[in-house]
Amino acid sequence: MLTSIKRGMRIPILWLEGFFDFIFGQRFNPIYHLGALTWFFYWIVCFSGIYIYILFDTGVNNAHPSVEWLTNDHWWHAGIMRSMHRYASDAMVIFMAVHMLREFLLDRYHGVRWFAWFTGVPLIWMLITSGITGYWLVWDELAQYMAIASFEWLDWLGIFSEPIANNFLKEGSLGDRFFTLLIFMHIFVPIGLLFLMWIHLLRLNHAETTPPRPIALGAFLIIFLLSLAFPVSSHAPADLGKVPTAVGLDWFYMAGYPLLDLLGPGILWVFAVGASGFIAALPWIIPRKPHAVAVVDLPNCNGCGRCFEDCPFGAVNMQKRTDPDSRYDLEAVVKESFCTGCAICTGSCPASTPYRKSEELVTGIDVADIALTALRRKMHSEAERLTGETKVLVFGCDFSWDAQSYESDEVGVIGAICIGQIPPSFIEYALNRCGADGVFLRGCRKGDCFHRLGVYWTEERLTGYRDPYLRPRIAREQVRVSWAAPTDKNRTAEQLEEFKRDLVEFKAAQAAREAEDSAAKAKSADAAPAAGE
Amino acid sequence: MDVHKITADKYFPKGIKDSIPKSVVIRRYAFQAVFAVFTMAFIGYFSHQPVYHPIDENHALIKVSFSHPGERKDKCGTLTKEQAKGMTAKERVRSTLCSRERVPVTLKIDVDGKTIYEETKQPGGLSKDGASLFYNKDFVPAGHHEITVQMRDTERTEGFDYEHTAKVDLKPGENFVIVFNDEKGRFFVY
Repeated sequence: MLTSIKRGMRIPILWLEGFFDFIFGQRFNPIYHLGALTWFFYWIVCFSGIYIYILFDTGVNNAHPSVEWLTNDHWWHAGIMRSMHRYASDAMVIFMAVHMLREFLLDRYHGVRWFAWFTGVPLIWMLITSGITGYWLVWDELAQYMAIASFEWLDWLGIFSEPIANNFLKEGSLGDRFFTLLIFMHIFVPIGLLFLMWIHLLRLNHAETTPPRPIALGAFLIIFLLSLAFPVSSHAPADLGKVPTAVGLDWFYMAGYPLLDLLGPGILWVFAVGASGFIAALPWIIPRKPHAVAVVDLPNCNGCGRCFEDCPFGAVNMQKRTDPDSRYDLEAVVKESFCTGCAICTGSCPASTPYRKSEELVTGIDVADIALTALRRKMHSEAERLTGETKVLVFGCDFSWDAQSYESDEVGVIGAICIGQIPPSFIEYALNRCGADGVFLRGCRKGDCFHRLGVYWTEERLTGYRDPYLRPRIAREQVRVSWAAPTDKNRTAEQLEEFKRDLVEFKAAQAAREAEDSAAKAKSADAAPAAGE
Repeated sequence: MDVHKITADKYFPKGIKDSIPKSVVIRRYAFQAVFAVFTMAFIGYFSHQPVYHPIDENHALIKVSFSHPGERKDKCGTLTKEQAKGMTAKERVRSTLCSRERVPVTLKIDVDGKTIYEETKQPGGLSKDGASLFYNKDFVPAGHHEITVQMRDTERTEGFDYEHTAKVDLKPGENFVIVFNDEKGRFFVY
């Protein structure tokens, strides 16, 4: 059932992403940088928090007046900082939630990717705790309501000899020492959150923790302008002799409190722990079909380290050579439990060249699901099948499209695990040896590669920023890329048709140039004997 | 050719970056502004709205919170000479020690003659030798009330060992607290 829900929701998500592509462009689409944006908001929260802490009075009786002072008397710096602290914290919750939902719907939590998913669950608890402990420090009616409710919830566990909520029993119950403990909680829990955020990314290579500058600027402006337009204010000072009758909850952090009042602490514990356990266990509840992992072929590995550099999941390590006769120092070794089988390493290997004459194409590192030799074989068979006037070979990754629908007598399709699996030498080979007029590369939307970095690396290889790169002598008019999702099927078909039309023009221009060249050569050949006479 | 100086746009004029008409650019900026305003409104609103009412405005809270150990379950006693016969000194000391276990404590709260809370709490600790913890909240309409609180901490099955009655005028939103002071051996209300 979960799988059906997921599939049903995937299409709207992809449409929405497509709409955002239109608004922001693929490169600056914030949906592709949700995790990095959460990091960015964390830093805003940190810096604004440190700023207001300098002006904050930590005594229980002085906390509220000091917050009021910095909010009202110094609204133009401290007040804005306080508002930014609040709104950036709220943004963290929103972006974290959407990030998690998206990773779930787009199936990016399965198999060896379980680690980031699993460590993301305690992050939710840490983030919510960080926010809640911050609200206590204002020590207004909202803080009073939340602190009492929070500790009543904890007390229900029965692990404390005396109820912690007794500290809030009546006026005078709450001392400076306990209030200082609350302040320490609000400092150390966010530090723990940062530590866990680091652990969350441990199994990702080239993890993005900073969004592109325009997105960061936009996010900052949203928080800043919101702080200016709707500055945060406090409730009345806490009064333990009274029960707050109306509180303006921050629903991003405090949606659990009405549930606590409604269901009681026991049921809420069952719900919270049960839901967390269920979410954490999703990678094993909905398992993904098994896949092959990358395998290193030592005789073909020269220890260059490109696969180590390019692997998006840190599955490749370099170690000292184990074959004693080798003239190289290092060799690649694959950590199977980290490998998603994306084959981006194959695309980065300098030995992955189709020009080799051997029947079986063996490279330095390969994935058996669609091995490099199978790709070359398919390229040959597809090229031989084409009978049309303009022959195009399309390389596309399995995650971005339904490949077969594009096949025709002019278009041959070669499916890959990821577009990053295709070494640039295959493009050259397709044009020079297979008789293709053009090569069309179809991968996931830029920034949204299922295997994280396949599209980025492909662009960098094509443009010469990354080894192995496409040789400059290849006419760029004969290569076209399309980064799109399955919902962009029609757009890709249009791009393909446009590419074919452009190729016809290119071929005509090329033929005209060749005719001009040969005419010029003939003319100079005719002129030479005349000059001799 | 120096490949590192070649930009993506130059290499793939149509594939990587389409030339964007001005009207589309304007539409993009407009949508970006709408998105920014929507995000601001969404965060700004739900960060403090809608207002939540944890308690009806014309109600007050009666809260009871204290810990109190019940009486020891077994009475302490000394061994007779016959019982102590044949025992080592250590065994004699051990056998004269009282059992650590305490009896459960029962608490009952009546408001205007109607019981709003009655519960028996087991003693804390693995050996059931700790205090019984009480923490309870009840909301009652504001106004004049007669509140009676009774507690039983012995093995008796009927009646109570402690009782306190208070006539109070609870204001809306008031936090009325009932505690038991072990040192003074009586209830206090605030």
